Amino acid sequence: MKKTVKQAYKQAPWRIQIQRFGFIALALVGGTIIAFLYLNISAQSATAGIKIQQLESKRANLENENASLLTEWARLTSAIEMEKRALASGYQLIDPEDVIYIVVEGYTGKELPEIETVSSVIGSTSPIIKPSYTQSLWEWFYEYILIPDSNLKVLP
Amino acid sequence: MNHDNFFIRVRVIQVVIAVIAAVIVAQMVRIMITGSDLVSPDTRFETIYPERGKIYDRNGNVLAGNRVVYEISVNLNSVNTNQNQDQIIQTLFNVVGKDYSEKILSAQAYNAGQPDPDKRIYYLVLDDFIDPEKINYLEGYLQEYAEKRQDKKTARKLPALNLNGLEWWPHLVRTYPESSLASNVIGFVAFNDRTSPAYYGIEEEYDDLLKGNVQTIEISDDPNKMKEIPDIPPGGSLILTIDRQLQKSVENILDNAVRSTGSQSGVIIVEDPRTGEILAMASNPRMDLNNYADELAKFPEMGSFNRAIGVPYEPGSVFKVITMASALDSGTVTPSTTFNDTGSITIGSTVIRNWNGGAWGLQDMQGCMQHSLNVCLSWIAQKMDVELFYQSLTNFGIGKSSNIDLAGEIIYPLSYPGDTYWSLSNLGTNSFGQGLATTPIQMITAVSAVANGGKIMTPHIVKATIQDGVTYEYTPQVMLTPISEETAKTLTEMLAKSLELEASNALVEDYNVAGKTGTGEIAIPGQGYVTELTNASFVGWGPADDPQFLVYVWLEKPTSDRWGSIVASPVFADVVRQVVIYMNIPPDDIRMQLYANE
Repeated sequence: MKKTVKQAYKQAPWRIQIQRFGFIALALVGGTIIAFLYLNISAQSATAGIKIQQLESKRANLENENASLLTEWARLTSAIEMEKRALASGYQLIDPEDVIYIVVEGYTGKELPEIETVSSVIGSTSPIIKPSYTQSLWEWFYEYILIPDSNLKVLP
Repeated sequence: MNHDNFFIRVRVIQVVIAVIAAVIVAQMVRIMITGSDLVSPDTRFETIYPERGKIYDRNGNVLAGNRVVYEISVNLNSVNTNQNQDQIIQTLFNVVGKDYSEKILSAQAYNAGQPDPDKRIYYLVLDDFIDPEKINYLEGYLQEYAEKRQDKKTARKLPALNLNGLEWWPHLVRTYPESSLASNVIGFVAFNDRTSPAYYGIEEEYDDLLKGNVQTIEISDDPNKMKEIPDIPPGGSLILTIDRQLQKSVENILDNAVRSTGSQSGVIIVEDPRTGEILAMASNPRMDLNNYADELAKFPEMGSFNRAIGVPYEPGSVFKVITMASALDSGTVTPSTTFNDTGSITIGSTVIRNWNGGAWGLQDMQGCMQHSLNVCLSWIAQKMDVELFYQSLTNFGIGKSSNIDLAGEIIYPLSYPGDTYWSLSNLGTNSFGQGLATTPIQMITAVSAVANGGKIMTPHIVKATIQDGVTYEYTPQVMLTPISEETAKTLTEMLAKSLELEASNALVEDYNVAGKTGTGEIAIPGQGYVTELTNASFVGWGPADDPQFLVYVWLEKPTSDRWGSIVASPVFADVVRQVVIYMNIPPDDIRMQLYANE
């Protein structure tokens, strides 16, 4: 009769505990690494967000300042001011009989002034802020992992 | 025993760590999915007002622009101590010169009694439209204070300055660098109320285009939830047909004329009849648009902000241009048709006499216009017959809108045969500009047919619009063609000759001009027409052989003299002397030489 010999052994309890502790510690370390990465990226995106807010505010202020300066320049060169300066400089209003007319070849008269020809609107219709700066981890997970097809929408 | 204790402790630590980790993960997931009030500050809705479009004259000079002012506010959530609050109040008192303590305290009292957090005041606007100089002073003051606090020598003497919660935000308001220049054309925006509509003139007429698209957007202070602020384009800008220099000259001439003739008010319009462009439109009185609140009292009557489009009046003999043009064009008369003026004519129940009550004997049509004979023109209208006469007036656009692109045009409807207030007498009186009312813009528009080869171009004041950096130029349009080119030329020659023969005050050296005076009597309720009160007018154009400008002058109730030929004609001449300079129109002999060389 053939006997099957089985060696019965059991890990020492302390070893089992250590293993379990090690697994948990490993999970914690892994979680900590993920959390660290996540927080790091979040912090970077928050910093970028703040920077963008500051830049947008700065841009708005600059646009306001430009508008103000243009108007101030217009005030300084207004008809009344220019007349004062002209008279102070010794100029005087001309009479029709004092005007000398000369023929200028090719001159077709005054044309429409070129003003505001450069649009203040940025032509691009795509958003300045990339989604990666604004979407949460969950949104990223949902968009890129769960429904990867949606990825196609944002690819250039 | 020791082992057991050890394992129990390890298990407890495991459980505790696992629970903490689970709580952290659960919280992270919750924040991720639902958000949290702790890490997500309140979002707010903010209305973004784009920069209001600018208004330029035809040479690109700014007539209406924008400037920065500041709104000062307190974020009550951030004001953490009484000292903080007191320092805000004291600092603002030092800088702005106003005491805001009552405003802040009443808001806080309200919050204290308000159980619903959503209804509490967190963002309290203390003041608005603060000049940048005051904000610059405030910022300089704070910087200087901070530097002194850093300096060990002075730091001990200065208490820490806690202005938590104090905020100031820039925004733009309308401003008019030319003050009162062309104010009657431009209109104004009530800049102390950003939701208020614009009033009068260009500002009102083109308000939708100028103000752009106001948008309300959601703004979060959480940088992780930050949304891109949409790039809201500024409102469209306008380039007017007005020439700033000419406008100023014309306003000066008008103001001097009103003063020297003792007139109640006045109007001058300069138009290019070939395109319908209004080169200058002056109305007296005017106001400083930057100070509209105080100056609106100058305009008690409806429409008086811009009398050129808003005040209809009986124009008098300038209207004879329309009557004669209609008669010539319909073939009712020719320049050589004669009329024996006996000094009066009865039409309906009204006996019509000439301006001097005299009889002028045999006159051709040239003489009728030269001497401005009411009797002759009434006879012409009678000869045309009622239906044709009024059809002609309709063809000239009398009694209808001129279609000028300015807000506030008033239309005084013309009475037609069959209307309640029409009688046959109207046929006679209407022929020389009495018994009907038009505004200066309607008169100049009608007369422009004679100055422009029979065609009336739509009068307009906007030469081009600018949107998103693209300029869209207005294309001149023919509005009406009431007479033929031949009629226009014939009448222009007649009127130019009339001025020469009577040695009119309207004549301008070296320039051949055509025109007609007008002295309209004014009807006073209960008294009828009062001889002493008149509307003195003149309409003229030139150069007569190639009209490039058309000028309309109206002086209301002049006291120095009642006749248009005395008070209005020289004003026309003064205006033309300026117009030819600004429009580069050489004297006739030089111009003819240039044409010959071409």
